[in-house]
Amino acid sequence: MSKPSKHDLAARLARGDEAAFAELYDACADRLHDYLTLRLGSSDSAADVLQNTFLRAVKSRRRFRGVENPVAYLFQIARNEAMRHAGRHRAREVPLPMEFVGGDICQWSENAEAVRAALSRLNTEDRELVELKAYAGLTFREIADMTGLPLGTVATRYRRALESLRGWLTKQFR
Amino acid sequence: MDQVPLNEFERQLEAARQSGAPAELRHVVLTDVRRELRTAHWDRRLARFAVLLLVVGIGANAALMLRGNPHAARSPAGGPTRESLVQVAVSVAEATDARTGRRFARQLAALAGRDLTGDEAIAIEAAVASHPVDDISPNGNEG
Repeated sequence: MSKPSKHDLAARLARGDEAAFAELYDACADRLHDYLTLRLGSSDSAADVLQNTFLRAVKSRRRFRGVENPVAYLFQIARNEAMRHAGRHRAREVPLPMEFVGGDICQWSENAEAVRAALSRLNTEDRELVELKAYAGLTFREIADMTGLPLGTVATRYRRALESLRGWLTKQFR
Repeated sequence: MDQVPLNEFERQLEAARQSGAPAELRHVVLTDVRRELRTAHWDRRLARFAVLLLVVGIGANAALMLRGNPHAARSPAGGPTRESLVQVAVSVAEATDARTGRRFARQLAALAGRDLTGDEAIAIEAAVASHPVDDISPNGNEG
């Protein structure tokens, strides 16, 4: 028997199939939570926004009918919900924690605060690409679907953002 | 610090991922999903029941009217106006879906002993299309 396609899942979601929402949750909740935690700076906020994201997805479930990739679509909803949340609880720029200044770059990636601090140096669009690709684990295709940018542009901008991030971190850890 | 290769840097960034969603969140989210789906299901059933009551009421009224004056329904001056047909179609479409709204307006005109005119059909189509209602595809699936 063939594996159900993303289209099948989208059709079941649009019909309001409860099991399909459970499948969608299992397929992306961890990545979504990580993405939201990084974006909002708090695991509790991420959980709230994740919950709202699913509620909104259920309420507008008929829109899944025309959706190619339900996971990318859910990330799109989550991104909007995160923006709404951030609007209510304005995010501040995060300074790099002192223990990492002059330290080893191998250490920085083990600390979520340091990752947030590094990402906050990027502009909003580039930061989002890095969050979605490296942190949320989406493919370039999924990011392109979600942001409406051409595939090539996503890849190029992602690479440029990584270079910029690496450059900034290199200075910090010199 | 030396500049690390970009793919190594990317790997480090990926390694910085958190441990995923808390296990208890799954139950919370899926309970919300279930509750929302059930609420929507009951809303739809109630809306259908309300429409059914409306149809029965209009049918009973029309039957009484025909019994009292058999020519009344066939009178060119009788029956709903174009505006009222459009309003009924939109109201029913909002409560159910676009297809039921259109069908209901057609049947309302039929109860008055006539078919929808071309103008009325176009006006109903435009009004239903301009309202954010569910649509149903020609094969009967929700669309």
